[in-house]
Amino acid sequence: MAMEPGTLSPVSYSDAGALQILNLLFQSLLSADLADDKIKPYLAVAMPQVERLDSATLFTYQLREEATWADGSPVTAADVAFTLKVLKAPLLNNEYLKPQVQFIQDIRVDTANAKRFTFVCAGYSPEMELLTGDFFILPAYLFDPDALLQPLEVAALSGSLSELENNSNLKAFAARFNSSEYGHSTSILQGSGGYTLESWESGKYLTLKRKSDWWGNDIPGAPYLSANPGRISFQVIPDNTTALLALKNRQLDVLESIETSEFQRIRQDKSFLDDYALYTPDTYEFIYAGINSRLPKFSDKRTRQAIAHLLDVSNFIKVSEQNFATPTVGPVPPAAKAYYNERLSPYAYNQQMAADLLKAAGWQREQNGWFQNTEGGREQLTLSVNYRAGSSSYENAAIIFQQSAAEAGIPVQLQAMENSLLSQKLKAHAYDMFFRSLSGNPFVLNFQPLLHTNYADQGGMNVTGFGTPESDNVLDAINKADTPEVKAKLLKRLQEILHDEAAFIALYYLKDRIAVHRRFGNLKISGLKPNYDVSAFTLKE
Amino acid sequence: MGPYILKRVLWAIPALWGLATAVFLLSRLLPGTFGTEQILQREGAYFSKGSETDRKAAYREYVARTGQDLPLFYLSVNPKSQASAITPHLTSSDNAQEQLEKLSWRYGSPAHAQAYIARVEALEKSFETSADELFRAKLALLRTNDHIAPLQQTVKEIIAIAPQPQVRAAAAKVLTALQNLKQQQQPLAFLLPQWTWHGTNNQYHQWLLRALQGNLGESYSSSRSVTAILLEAIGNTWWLLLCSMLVTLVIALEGSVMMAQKRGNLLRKFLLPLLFLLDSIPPFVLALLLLVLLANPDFLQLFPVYGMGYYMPQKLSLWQELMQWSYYMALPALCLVLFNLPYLTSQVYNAITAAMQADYTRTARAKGLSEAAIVRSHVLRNSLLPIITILSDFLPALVTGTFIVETIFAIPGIGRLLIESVLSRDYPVLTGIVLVVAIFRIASYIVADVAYAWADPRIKQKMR
Repeated sequence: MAMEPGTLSPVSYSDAGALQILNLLFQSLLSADLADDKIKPYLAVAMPQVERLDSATLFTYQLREEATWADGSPVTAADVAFTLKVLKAPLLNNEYLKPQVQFIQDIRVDTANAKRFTFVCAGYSPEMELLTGDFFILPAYLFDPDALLQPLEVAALSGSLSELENNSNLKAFAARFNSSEYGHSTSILQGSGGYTLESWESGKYLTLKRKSDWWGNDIPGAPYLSANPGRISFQVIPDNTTALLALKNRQLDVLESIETSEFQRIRQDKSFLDDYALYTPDTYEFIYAGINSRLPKFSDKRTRQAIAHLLDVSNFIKVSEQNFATPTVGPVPPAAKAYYNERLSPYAYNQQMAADLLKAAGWQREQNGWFQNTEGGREQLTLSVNYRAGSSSYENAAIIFQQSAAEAGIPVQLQAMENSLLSQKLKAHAYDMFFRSLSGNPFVLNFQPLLHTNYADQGGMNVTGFGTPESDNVLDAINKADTPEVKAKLLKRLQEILHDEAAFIALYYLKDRIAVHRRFGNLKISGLKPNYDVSAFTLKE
Repeated sequence: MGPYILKRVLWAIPALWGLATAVFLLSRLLPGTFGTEQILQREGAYFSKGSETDRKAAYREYVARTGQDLPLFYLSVNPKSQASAITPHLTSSDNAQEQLEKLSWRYGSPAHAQAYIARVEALEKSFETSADELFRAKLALLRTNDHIAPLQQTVKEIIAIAPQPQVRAAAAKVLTALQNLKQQQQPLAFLLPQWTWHGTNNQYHQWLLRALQGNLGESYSSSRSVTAILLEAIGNTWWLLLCSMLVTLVIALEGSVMMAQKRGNLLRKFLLPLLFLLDSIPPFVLALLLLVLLANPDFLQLFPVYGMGYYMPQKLSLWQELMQWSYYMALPALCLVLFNLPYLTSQVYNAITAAMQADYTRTARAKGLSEAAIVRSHVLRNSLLPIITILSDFLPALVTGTFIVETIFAIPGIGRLLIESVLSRDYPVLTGIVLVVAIFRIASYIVADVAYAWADPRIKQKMR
C-alpha cells in the first residue's frame, strides 16, 4: 500500500487501506462479495427482512449461529446494540461514521433469540438496506469490559444529546475509547473476522495472522467467507517506482494501482509475465467535467454543449490513462449494463459542431475570440479550469482541452489547486469549469445529492447547478422505484437529461491495474476496492 | 565559557517561543481542517452516506470534542460588522450563518441582524403545520436575502395574506426587527476594528500550557501522542543520518587533505569535476538512479529495494539485527553521502587551500616539516572554522530527515511525516515537528559556538 492507515479503529478509520485490513479483522452484517460484486450476508444469515411502515422502516436480521469472537464467545444482538451505541453516542471519536447510521433510530432485540434483532429506521431510501449492514460489529466484551455503555439506550441517542454529555459512564468510556489503543493495539483490535493483527511496525508493515480454527471456515452456503492465506503482510511503500522494483524483485505478491506507463512496460516483459498475472478490472470511479451553469455566460445549454464538444475524451484516455479507461455518457457505469443508456453516445470531439452551437447560443466569432452583447456590455467567452494539483490525469486532460479550446477561439486558463481549496471553491460556486473524479458502487445508484436542485445551494453537493424540474422528478422517482425495470427506465432518462444539459459531463470510467503472483488462485478480481479479496487467495498446485 | 553558553540558552527561549507561536497561528490559517476533510467532504461517492445536516452536526461535535471551536488566541481583531468572532475556517456554511454574515456586513450591526434571524425562525415556527407553497417561497426569501427593502416588502405581504393571527403577530415582530436594523445601521462599520478579548480559554493558551509540560498533544489522524510519533520517526532515521554524515565528513576531510597536497594533483583533476557533475544531478534522480542500477533484477541486484527489514516471527540477536539493518540502509546511506559530499568537499578543499597560502604554513615549510605534517597539524586546524559552520547547518537534518530518501526507500522518517501532516491538516504533529526542529537548530548553533572556541582560542578570549 502507498499510504499507511492512520488508525485501524473500526469506527474512525478514514482510508481505503484501513478498510481493507479491517475487513479481515472485523465483519459487518452485509458485505460485497468481490467474486460477483453482489451484496451478500456475512455476519448475518440472510439479507434482512424489510417491513415498510408509514414513517419508519424495519430491518430484521438474524446473526449466524456459528459466529464467535476471538475468545470463543458468541456474537449476539447485544454486540450489535453496543456497536450502535458506540457509533451514535456523543463524546466518542465516531464522527466519521456517525452520519451514515443516524437514520437508525432504535434496535429491538428479540427476547427469545439472542441472535435476532430489528433496526427501526426513520423513513425509507433505497440505500438503507445496504447501510444497515455496512458497519463493523464490535465485541462488547473487549471494547467495554466494564459494561459502561450497558445502561444507555440506543433510542436515547437520537436527537438532542446535550444531557448525555455529562453522563459519567459515557465520559469514562470516552476517555478510554478515544485513546490510540483502540486504533492500534493488537490485543483490542480483535473481531469476528478470520484474522488477527499480529504486528504493526509503524510506517513499515502490518502483518495479519489467520485464526487457528475460525468459525467461518466451511459454512454451508457461504463459501465467500474465507480465510485462506496463513499470514498476510501489508508493506508500506510510498513511492511508485520503488514499489514496482520491489515487485520485479519478487518481493511483493500483489501490487495494485500500478502507473499506466509502467503497466504498459511490464506487459511486454516476458520474464515478469512468467511469474505475475496482470489484471485491469473496470472500477467504479469516473472522471467528469463540471461547468458552472449559474454563470450568465454558461446559462445557455448550447454554450455548455459546445464546450462538451471540445473535450477530446478519446485523447484524454490515450494520453493520461494509456487507454486504461472506458468512455461513458453519464455517471452510470457502462459495466452496469441494465442501467447504462446504450442509445446515447458521448460527446464527440468536433470543432465545427462547437462553433455552430456557440453561434446558436448568441456568441459572435471575432478576430480574437467569441463575444456576446450583454446588459453590462460586451462579454468574451473565456474559461478558467480548476483541477486538483499533483495528478497527471487532470493535468493532461486540462492541457488537451486548453489546446482544443484555443483552436476553437476560446482562451482557457488552467489553475491547479490543492484538493481542499478546490472543494471550498466549488462549494462557494466560485469557478467556471473543473475536472474531478467520483467513485461509487454498483449497488446503489442514488444521484439525488449530486444532481437534485435541493442540494444546489452554496455548500451543497450539486455544485454545477444542474437541474430541471423533470430531472428532479426523475431523481425522486428513482429512489421510489420498486422494480429494476422501472428504475432502469428512469436512470436512462436521467442520463439523457444530463447529456442534454451538459453541466455535469461524465468523461470516462477508470480501470485499475493490478499484478498478482501466478502461484495464487481464486483472486476475486473486481472493480470494487480493494480490487481483489486477499482472504480468498489459494495456492495453485 | 559557562556563562556565555547560559546566556545563549536563555536567549534561545524567547526565540523558540516566538517561532512556535508563529507556526501555531500560521498553520491554522491553512484552508480546511482535518475534520472538514474527513467528515464534511465525503462527496467522493455518488450516493449519500448520511445527510448533509447529520454530517454538519457530527462535524460540530468533532470540533467541540477536540477543542477546535475555541478562539485561536487571547485576542482577535475583526471588522466591527463581522458577526462571528470565531476562527474563520470553523464556520460551517449554514444558510442562517451566511445570511447573518451578509446582513452584518451590509448594515454593520451584528446584534440586530441576529435579532432579525431569531424573529424569522419564530415566524417559521408560528406556522404550526408546514407552510404551503406560497409562504414557503416567501420564507425562503426571508432566509436568504440580505437587503432590507425586499425583506420588508415580503414581510408586509405575509402580514397582508396570512390567515392565522399568530403568524401575523410573528411577522409584525420580524418587521420591527427589520426596522431596528435599518435605524441602527452603521454602513461603514466594516472599516472599524473591533478587539475581542477571549481570556485564557483559547486554543493557543491550552497548547502552550501542555507544551511547557512536555505534552505536544495528540495527532488528529491517529490519536496517538505527538511525542511518541516524533520519537519513532526520528529513531527510524537517526542512525542512518548520523552514519551517512560521519562517512561524508571523513571522506570530505580526507579527500581534501589528499587533494591539497602536491601528490594529490591527479586526484584533484579527476575528483573535482566528478563532484561537480554529481552536484548537478537532482537528488531524486540520483536516488532513483541508484535504486534502478543497484537493486534491479534487470541490472544489478546488490541491495534490497525498500524498507527497513522484513517481518520475522522469531527474535533476532543484536548482531544479526545490525547486519540486517546495514544491509537495508546501505543504499539510502550511499544516497545521502552522494547528496552532501560535493558541497562539503568543495568547502573543505577551499578552506584548506586558503590556509595553505597562509604565512604560518610557509613558516612550517621553512622549518622543514613534511608536507603531511604541515597539512594535518597546521593547516587542518586553522581551516576548521568554515567547516564547523557548515556542519552546524547539517546537524538539524538529523531530525528533519530527508523527504526524498524517505519516500523512495520507504523509510518512515520525519520528512515524510511532515509532508503527510501538512496534507492531512494534522496540526498537532505539524507544530510538534517544527518545534523539535527549532530546538535542534538552536542547540546546533550553541554547539557550533563551543566548537569555534575549541578550534580557535582567540574566539574563546572574546567570549569571556
